[in-house]
Amino acid sequence: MHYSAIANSPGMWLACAIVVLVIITQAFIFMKKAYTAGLQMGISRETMFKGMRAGLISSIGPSFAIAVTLLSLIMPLGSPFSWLRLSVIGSVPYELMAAKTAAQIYGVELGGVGYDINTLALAVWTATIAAGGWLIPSSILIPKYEMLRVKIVQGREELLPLLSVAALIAAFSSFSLPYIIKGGPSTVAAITGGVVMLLLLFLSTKVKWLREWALGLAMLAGMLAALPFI
Amino acid sequence: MTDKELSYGSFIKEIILWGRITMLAAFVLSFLPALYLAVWHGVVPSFGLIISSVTTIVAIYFISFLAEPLLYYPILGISGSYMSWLAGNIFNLRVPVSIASQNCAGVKEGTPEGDIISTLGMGVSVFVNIIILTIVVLFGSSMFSVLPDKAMKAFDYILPALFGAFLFASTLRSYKIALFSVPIALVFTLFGLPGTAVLFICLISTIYFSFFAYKKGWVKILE
Repeated sequence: MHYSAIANSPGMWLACAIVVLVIITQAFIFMKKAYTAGLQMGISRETMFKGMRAGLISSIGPSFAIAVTLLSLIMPLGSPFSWLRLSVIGSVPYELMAAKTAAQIYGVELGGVGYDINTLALAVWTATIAAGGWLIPSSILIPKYEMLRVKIVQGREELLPLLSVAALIAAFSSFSLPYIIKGGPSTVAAITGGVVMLLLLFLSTKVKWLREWALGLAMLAGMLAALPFI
Repeated sequence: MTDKELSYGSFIKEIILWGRITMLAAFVLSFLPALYLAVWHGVVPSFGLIISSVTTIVAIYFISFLAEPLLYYPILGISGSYMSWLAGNIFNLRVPVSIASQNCAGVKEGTPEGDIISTLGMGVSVFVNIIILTIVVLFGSSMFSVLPDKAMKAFDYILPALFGAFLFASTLRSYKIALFSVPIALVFTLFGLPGTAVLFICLISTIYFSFFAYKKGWVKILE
């Protein structure tokens, strides 16, 4: 049997769907608990729905970006496994790296001549085991990070928001600069996205609903502006 | 302790418990596809091959395993971390969603209210992401084959646009902190350091700078 027939078999879909169910369960439990705790803490229903609506609107664009890159995983890994790894745990570069490493060990190209069920199995085992490098330490250490975060501000809780803001400004500086200095469509997309975002945020002081859509529209504008330069 | 602190405290306790259970359950169950290939089709790579390919991956991602969960922690918070490290796609989906939902709801990052809203927003992103991935994986090839190649390539530029949008927006939060972090990130990116290393240096130095600047009265705790 050709490897892709096995990789896309109903059994594989079932095996993958069970794992996807775990993340759905987690999201459901966490949201329920957050909603209950939020009400007890005096956060209004309106505020919580605003947060959820913003989460909904702003995850559409990035999800499509992920979905498009997912297509590059389908050929070597099959549909169900690619679907699983991008719904839970993984990311495209990591899964591709695992698949490439497996292929290299067998001395074949990804999805090329000689890429067979054995290569696929090695890729699946590799991606699965190595992901433990993130899952196992985080499941144990996350509460310790919370203690560290409180320790960093030395008991001055009013500094915690500053810590978060500094961290996110630093993170987005590091994420965006490689694209900004790359030149061509990447630079155009990053700068356009940034300028449109700023404009929309200024406008949103007058037009309230724009705030939730600002990020989505800025992404769309950046993407469209990059088109002529591709 | 106030009622608010008590409710948030018990929320955190439950999140840690359920976070650990779901994460470990997912890790154990994530072996199902590999076991399916082994049991149903009799295909198992030899132990030696698995070791050598896992070692290669660990060598590449070792720094990331150690540093990333800690580096993203101040942004993701406790429940956000449990969700993100299980759901994956952290910097390209979960972090942006967390910030967007907190901004739109008008709560501060790093506070208990921020953590609650971030959990709700990220929970929604898990469902949206799975729905979109499912549609694309089932109908993707026919859906995207009607698009010209150039339009397909345009999707590559969603991510730079997203990051640019957040960087520019963050100058509204504190342009002084951005004036510090951008040159740091620029210099180390130009040096050719890998992304995680740039993030590490930029994050630690920016946090240090922001505390120093706060002490000096250059920056305020932001609204």
